[in-house]
Amino acid sequence: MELTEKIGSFLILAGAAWMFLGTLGLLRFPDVYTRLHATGLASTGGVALILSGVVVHFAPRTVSVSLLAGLTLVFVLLSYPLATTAMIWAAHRTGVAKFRGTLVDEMELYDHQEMGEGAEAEEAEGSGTSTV
Amino acid sequence: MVDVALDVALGLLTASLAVAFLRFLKGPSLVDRLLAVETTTLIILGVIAVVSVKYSFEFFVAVLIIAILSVISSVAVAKYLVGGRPF
Repeated sequence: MELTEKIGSFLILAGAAWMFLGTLGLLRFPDVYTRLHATGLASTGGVALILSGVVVHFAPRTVSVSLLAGLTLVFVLLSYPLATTAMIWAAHRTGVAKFRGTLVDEMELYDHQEMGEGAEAEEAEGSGTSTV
Repeated sequence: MVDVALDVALGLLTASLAVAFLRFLKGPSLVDRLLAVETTTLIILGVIAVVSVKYSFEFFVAVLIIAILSVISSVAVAKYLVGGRPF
């Protein structure tokens, strides 16, 4: 019991430090995309470490809380990258300014391709109806 | 030792809460503020987890509900900004 408490508190401390570093990146990076990178990776990883620490901490005494924390851990790991990806698309499509030293923007290439196909399909589909 | 580690973790989480709020005040674009809000919900999730370990409270349903609400609201605001498909 003592050992699991020590391991759990160490994991929680590591997760909190990780999360603080990620949030520092949110403050210090020059660009919305790099900020999304910093906080989307580091904060999610920090919360995952904290939740795994909670799983280890509660495992010998109350198994139900440990199971619920594990469920939350799986949910966070599966769904927060989804929200981050949606925000990246929103930033790129609303035209948020890039950092001046940006070398490659692959998303722009992909967006052009996809928008071209989508526009053609829409035109072919709505050519009969959109006369108003 | 365990209590000291949990206290230090709570202090680090509080500091990162302040930093995220600073970004929320500064943020040039709307996506920055949305990102700051999402980070704030993540930090609050971590704070609730640490507090539930420290005081042996067991409200993990609240943590799960906060995670679900945060993800759904982030995707909804991103979809509203794009005006169509978010991906």
